[in-house]
Amino acid sequence: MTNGARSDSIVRGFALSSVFWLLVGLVVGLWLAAEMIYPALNLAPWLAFGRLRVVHTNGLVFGFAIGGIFACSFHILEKLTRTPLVFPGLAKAQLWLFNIAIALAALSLFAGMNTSKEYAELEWPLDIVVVVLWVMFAVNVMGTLVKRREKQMYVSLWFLIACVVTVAVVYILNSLAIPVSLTKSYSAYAGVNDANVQWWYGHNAVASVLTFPILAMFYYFLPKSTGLPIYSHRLSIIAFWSLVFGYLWTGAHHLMLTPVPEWIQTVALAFSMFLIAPSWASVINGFYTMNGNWDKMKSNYLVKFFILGITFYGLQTIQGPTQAIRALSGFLHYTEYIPGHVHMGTMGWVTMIITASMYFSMAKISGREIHSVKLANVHFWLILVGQLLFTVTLWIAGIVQGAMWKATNPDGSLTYTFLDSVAAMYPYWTVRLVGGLLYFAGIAVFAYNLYMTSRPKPGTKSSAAAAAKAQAA
Amino acid sequence: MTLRATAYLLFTLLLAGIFAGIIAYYFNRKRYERVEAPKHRMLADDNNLPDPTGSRREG
Amino acid sequence: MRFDSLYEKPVLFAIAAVVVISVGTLVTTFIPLFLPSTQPVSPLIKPYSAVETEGRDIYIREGCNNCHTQTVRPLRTEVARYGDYSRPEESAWDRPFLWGSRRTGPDLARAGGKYPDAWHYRHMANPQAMFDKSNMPPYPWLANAKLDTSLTARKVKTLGYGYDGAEVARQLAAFRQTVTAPTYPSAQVRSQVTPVGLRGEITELDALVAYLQKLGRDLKAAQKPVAVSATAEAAESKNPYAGNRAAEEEGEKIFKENCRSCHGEKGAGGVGPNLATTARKYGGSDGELFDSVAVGRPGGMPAFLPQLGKDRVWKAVAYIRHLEKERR
Repeated sequence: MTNGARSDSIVRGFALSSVFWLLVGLVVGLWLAAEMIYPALNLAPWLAFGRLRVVHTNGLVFGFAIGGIFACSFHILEKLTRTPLVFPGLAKAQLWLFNIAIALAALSLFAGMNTSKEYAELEWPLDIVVVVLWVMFAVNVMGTLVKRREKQMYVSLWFLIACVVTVAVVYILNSLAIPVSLTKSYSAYAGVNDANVQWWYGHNAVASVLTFPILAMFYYFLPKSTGLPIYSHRLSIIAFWSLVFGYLWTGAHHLMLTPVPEWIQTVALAFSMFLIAPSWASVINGFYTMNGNWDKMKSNYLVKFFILGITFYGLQTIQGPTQAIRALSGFLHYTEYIPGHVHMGTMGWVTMIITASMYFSMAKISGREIHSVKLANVHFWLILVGQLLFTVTLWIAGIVQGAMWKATNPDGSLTYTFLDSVAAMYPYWTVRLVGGLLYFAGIAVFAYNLYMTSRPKPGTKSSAAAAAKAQAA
Repeated sequence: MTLRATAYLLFTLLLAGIFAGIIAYYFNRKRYERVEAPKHRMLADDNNLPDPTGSRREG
Repeated sequence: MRFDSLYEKPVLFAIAAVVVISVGTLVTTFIPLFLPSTQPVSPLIKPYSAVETEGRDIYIREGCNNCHTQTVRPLRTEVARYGDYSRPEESAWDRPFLWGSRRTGPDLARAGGKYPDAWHYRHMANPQAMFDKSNMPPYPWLANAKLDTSLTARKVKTLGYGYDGAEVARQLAAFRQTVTAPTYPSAQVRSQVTPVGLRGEITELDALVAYLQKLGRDLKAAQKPVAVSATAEAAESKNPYAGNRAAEEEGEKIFKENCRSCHGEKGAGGVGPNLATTARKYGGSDGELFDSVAVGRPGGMPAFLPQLGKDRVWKAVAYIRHLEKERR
């Protein structure tokens, strides 16, 4: 293999698998959005809301996001180390095991085999499979890094390493459980400690899956698709270490005003505020990179994905810490505001960056231009409008709901029953479903466009490389 | 001031100190070129990776 | 060693990253595991019974925690809506914890004893029949499944609840006898939702209802003396709205929102007793009616005073009087 990348077929495999799970996860999400309005859709045990919600979150975090991370990581890794993947056979096995694991995960969650710990719902045998998959991934990442031909590691590789170690630590420690059968186990921690460990995990799953590797993609693919160097590499050093240090303290901001010890909540709140700084360092790095070249927003179809993506990341990392403030948490927590917040991060930041990164790397490995820039633009606008409709509606819904829960009469009694607050949500849930449908349409366009781009081009490798190069410029 | 409050304060100051130290170290002008080098190298052509059997290391 | 050579040594870098993520982990997660103050244990909070343990596992299997929280925060309106705020001791036996993160439905930490079992049987089978605006999904199939108790003894042992397999068998037999007896207070509604073949068995729904009735029960029992002294009105007090037509109309609205789901259209009865009558178990004076609504009665009449306030409770009482009159 003279022009190098041993991982091309593996990258393609992970990317297409990831998009497949994305479509599955979104269909489940749409069904859930409809079930919120029409509870009669709870047709059978396997379609009941409580089980489907878990299929939705796991399918998208583990199927789509992790799949996309594997795809883009292998691509970035080879390019930034100028070294072919050290164990391509292992990576191929990882691709197979990944898809089998996600399929089994979905089936087991549909069947109600569920630990109830959010984003760690898989029962213990599948936890072991996840750990095996992660070790396979880590071996290739670290092995390739050790063998690399590029002396210094670029910032994307640091975030990749942080992802590898943090996922391992938080996933294993939170999933410790005592089995009673093959499909049932009980958490190793009880009560308050279980809550504290779970949200330490929950928050750092967001950090190590939906932040670190996505930042790795952002720092790699924005410069690569524009030809502009990142504004400040040393700023990214500061941002990296403070982000990686600060994130692990903040889990308890999901548990404000609960029986978790107050000092843990306060420390979490303080570090949540601190995290604005390193998060915005990446936002600033992104914006200043474009300084003087903002015309590329129009001339280069990929730039707007990255810039809008990092903008939503910036908004997300302001909104998150404000939600941790006790008074605001008391008002907003448990309302629709929180799903609104989460979906801006996932539909805005994560999906914008992963889909754009896939366009770029897929064009590069298949040696052809993207199938259609026009369709990519349609995809962009549909997911942008769909996401905004979805999230802004839920923020408003959450504020309405929080206000209704808190409203009191002059004598101190409650103005609204809980059911009043449910009845007030139906219009918002309908708009959310519409937003979700628009978003899904955008993702369907993306899936088609990416698939058409992924078909290997008949012809020589050299023409492939040239085409990819032209596309990068 | 209680022991607990003192501990909180000292810990905060320690973290702030480390943070300031890291910034001072990396934003020192004499390290500028070395620290910023990777951002230019990553833009260089990477379409042709060397043969896996080679062991040349660049940079 | 120069600090910036870290970026040339991936293994060292990975170790550095582990060290950096460990600091916050140690302080906020690991050390609290070994502090008894993080998860205090109280003898007043009892472990789950065998049936409640199985019910809890059904709650987990169906992912109820995705829509219902089980932690009341120390906020005035929240305590008024759900009941006393959650204490850490209450979670001591919970593996996993089930505090939840979203209230698509109401908090359940104080659900135990709030309503009679019959309320839950009817509600799980068809929530919209009781509350037409509710988006609670119906779970009729839970009553169609016999409870699998093959692992119960092992579960209880793993969870360290302090009783053995023989006790598990005894509890299961006793529970089965209770819910299948014709004297079971919710027998009629239970047999409406349970298929004939399973009426003599413990169903998954039976276990789930038993679990829901345990939530917050021990704390309430421990606090009982306080609740009684909080009774707001003396038996001899008079309704300030007696005979006031406008107040009765307002009372009707309050009744429809809060009482109808149990006491039926125009108070004709359902899960709760018929109210359009003068024969009353807890007395028929204004003050006694007020108390029934305000602080609740044993067997599943919830306290409405914190939610509704005195004024609206009196209006509801005025409407109940009006129903009495209509009946005559």
